Amino acid sequence: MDCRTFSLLLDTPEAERTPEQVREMEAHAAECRDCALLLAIQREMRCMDEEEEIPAAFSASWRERIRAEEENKTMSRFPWKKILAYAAAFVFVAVGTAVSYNNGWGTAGKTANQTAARTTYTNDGAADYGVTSGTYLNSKAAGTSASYEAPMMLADSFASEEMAAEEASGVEREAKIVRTVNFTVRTQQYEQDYDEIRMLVEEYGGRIESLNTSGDGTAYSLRRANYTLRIPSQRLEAFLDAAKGVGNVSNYSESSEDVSENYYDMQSRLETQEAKLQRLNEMLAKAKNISDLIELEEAISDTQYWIDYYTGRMRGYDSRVADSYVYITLREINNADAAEQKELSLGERIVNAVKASLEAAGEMLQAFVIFFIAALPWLIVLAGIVLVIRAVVRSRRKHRKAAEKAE
Amino acid sequence: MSLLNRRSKAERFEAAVMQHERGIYLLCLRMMGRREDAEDCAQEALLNAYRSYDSFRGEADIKTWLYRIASNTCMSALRKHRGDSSLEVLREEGFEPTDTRMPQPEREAERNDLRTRLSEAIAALPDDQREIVVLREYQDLPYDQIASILEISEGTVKSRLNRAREKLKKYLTDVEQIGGKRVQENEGRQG
Repeated sequence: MDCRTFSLLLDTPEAERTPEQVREMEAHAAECRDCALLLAIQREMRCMDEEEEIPAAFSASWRERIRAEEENKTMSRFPWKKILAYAAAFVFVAVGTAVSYNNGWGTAGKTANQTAARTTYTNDGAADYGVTSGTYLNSKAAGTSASYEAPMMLADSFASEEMAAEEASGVEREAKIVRTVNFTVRTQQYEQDYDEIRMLVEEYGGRIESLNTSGDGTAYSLRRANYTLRIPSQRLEAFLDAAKGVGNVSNYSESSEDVSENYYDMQSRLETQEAKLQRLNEMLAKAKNISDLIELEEAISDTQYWIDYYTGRMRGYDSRVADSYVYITLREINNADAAEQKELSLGERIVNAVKASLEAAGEMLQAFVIFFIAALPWLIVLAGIVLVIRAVVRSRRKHRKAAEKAE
Repeated sequence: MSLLNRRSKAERFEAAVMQHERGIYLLCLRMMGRREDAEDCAQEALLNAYRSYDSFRGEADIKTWLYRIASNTCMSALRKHRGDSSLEVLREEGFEPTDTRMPQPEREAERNDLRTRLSEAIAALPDDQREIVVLREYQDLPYDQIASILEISEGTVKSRLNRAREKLKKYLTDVEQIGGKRVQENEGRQG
């Protein structure tokens, strides 16, 4: 065997060498020092590996590390970042759209005159004056009772006259009835019915004492108008008949308060006080000393006060009796409500429900588009910032990788 | 899903790698020279293999694939600590040839001496030659597989191996000659 053949056999894996080849290699090695060294190197190296033991710590360690990595990966497999990003985007869009929607941006122009809750208050001062001032005057009367009772002498002299006057005035009395009606009108034609009620009020000689409206006519904010009407009592029935025809009336209630006794009592007191005032004035004209003059002046003043008080109260009663109170709530209803009211067929109800849903979706979409356009300048600025940060991060990462490669 | 796939990735990987674990560790040990470095590299190599196990399609032999990863990991580690693996530095840092733990009865003294010198010689080889020596002489892999692992041609494998063998022979011969001279000098002094 020559050195070349020996080299070829040396490069052949040991398992592929035949026993004959191995013997020939050993025989050649015994004669050739270089080849003997190469064979010795190879054999020693393999022996070294065969005798080497794998550290138990290594075996356990790499297994532990891949299991730890797997656990970490399982934990991080759930896409928290993505979900958070989507949630944040959703919240941003939803809040923006809701703000847009609630501010009425989605319906701006369409119902601009109805968007804000509006209160029209057309209080007739005279109407309530009697009631409110009555309370005030009662307390005032109590406060001034001392001064009123001071001229006992004079007061006593008029007591019998008062009683006589009351009895005289109670002969033929007209019943004083205060009527109050309250009902709700549900309608799909809100604007039309809103105007119609106003027209009816005018037509029947009534007036709107107060009007309060709310809602903007969108699916989630249906309109409502609360009327406080004063309708002449003589035409109340006719007005109610007309008003009931405006829409679907619900929650109807009516009450009557007989204020005759109070009214006529008040009237007799007023007449007494007026008679008393006349007498006092006559006495004043005949008074000769200062003390009498002063006492009469005070009595006249108190009497005048009571005359004013009773007059006011009576005016209040007159107003309440002459003009009945009518409280109307005009409520806008949507298609689904209308379907419920009319007991529509299933198909009609489905169609109405779909219509209502589409209307709502359309309004939400409008609100979203408006919000998006409104937020666009901010979004552009935000996108710019994000792009810059991303570019910086990528650049740094690139540099780091390049540095690692260079190493 | 088959029963095999139902096992976790770590379990599947462990099963596939188990029979090559020793070879990977020894490859790293011969490449790095120190057991601590060998353990680190072998661990790193196995972790890298685990991370890219999903992309392993079985087109290549898994042993070739694993050895390639281990070899690249060692080369990368050696590049990072360039100079550390020179024999002088290794010795300064307390390098111990891997066989010194062996018991040293007198009859094996000569053999252990050869191993010590051989370890030193291998550590002194350039990295690219050392990896071929390790794969061929230690691991007894055929040329085509070595070429596949290192992604070089068989011709390059052969030429590098020949150069490495020459260096090893030279190193061992020089040491032997120096040792022989020293023995003669000592004998002369004593005489």
